[in-house]
Amino acid sequence: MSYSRQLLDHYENPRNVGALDPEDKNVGTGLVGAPACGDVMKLQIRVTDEGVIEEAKFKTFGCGSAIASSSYVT
Amino acid sequence: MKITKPIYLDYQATTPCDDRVFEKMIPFFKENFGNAHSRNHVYGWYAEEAVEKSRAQIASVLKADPREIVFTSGATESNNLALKGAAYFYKDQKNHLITTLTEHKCVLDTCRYLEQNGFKITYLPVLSNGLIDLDVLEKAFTPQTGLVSIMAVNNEIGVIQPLSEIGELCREKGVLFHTDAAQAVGKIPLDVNTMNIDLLSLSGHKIYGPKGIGALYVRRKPRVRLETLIHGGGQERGFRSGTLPTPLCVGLGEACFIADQEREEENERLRSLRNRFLEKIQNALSEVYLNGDLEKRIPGNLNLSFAYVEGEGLMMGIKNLALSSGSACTSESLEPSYVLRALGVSEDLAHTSLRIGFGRFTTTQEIDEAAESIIKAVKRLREMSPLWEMAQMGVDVNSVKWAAH
Repeated sequence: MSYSRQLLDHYENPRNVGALDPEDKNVGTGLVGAPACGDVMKLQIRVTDEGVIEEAKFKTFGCGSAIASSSYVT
Repeated sequence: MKITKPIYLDYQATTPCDDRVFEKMIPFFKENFGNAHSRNHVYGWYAEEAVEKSRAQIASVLKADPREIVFTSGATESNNLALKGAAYFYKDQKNHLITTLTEHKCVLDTCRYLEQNGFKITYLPVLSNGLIDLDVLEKAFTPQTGLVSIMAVNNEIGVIQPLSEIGELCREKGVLFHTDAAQAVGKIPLDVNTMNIDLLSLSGHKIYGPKGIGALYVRRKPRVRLETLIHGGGQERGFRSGTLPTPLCVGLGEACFIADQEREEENERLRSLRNRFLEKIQNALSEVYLNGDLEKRIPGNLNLSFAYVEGEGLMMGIKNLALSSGSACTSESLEPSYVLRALGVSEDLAHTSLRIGFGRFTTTQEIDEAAESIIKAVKRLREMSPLWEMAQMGVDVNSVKWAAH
């Protein structure tokens, strides 16, 4: 089995890795998964007062597809 | 475009056939093609002579008699023959077998099959270093125990079980002792007499020989009886019918001979490579855990957990290396390695493990390149791991209530 080019690209050059300040009132943080299952994803978004997502950041513990899909989502 | 193959670090999965072994096999594919069981002409005699020489080479490595060696298709078949063969032969007197939780699948699955067919099996736990507790073994014996099957060297974590002590205990209790030595030949000294081993399985392709061949040692004095699994022409003293694959038999004998001859020197070389590798990793990375005992271990194996970095994800980042992960995204289930779980390694750490196998053709340069790649990938993936981030902020990842999915 081999991964698609798009997936490999997102794994090797993930977009928007990082963290936003969780104390910022415009930042929402979500954390899903469990280390025992082999994947955990943290996704953060910064939403403007008008309700527009202006920034998204993630960190993911998981296999290649988990990392690439996290990147793709942002 | 030149495609460079990744560095091979999976010597517990299989090994390349040594050129010296391969050369010895070639004539038996071509001009010396005879059937070793043909008694009436020189073609058969040649083949038989070669097969018997190989049988003697194998026996010599185990300090056994050549007549105690039965050729099979590999360690899986040898283990099946030993367990089912002995269980069925002695079923009227004994119906209980003892094995461990960390055996190879072909032993565990055979035990499951025997359980479905009315036998009782005790699966011994192991200590956190991967070794069995002899007291626990001793307590597991019952008057119905007919066979103990404990592997010599573990395929995932490379730990060496105390064969002599187990053998002594079995002999004292009058119970047969079988050991799966697929990973042990050429790595540790073996002696079926001083170790009181009654049945021993070995494999060609784990020791730089060909795939598709293995052997089972079956003690003659006192005689161990087995019910055969493969019926036919009665070859191999009735234990295993079928025409012997002469080239493969020749390859197995030669592979055993070379592995045993070079064992001490090769172990020294591998130990220094392994130490060099481990030192580099430990100097560059924190929170790397070794699974399985370091001392009671073959030098060609390391099994490391890189906390906060998932094994499959890590493997994708080290595509220049060919090795295995204890994580399970590639296997049928989502369960991480049952061997690591049996050691008490937590599920999350089991998901972060790599099995790194060194062998006869591993070079210092390869070791250095491998260490460098792993360090780079682990650092990169930790930077993007939410668990690493939490750990750095002082959050105990184990104290978080995760919703399993």
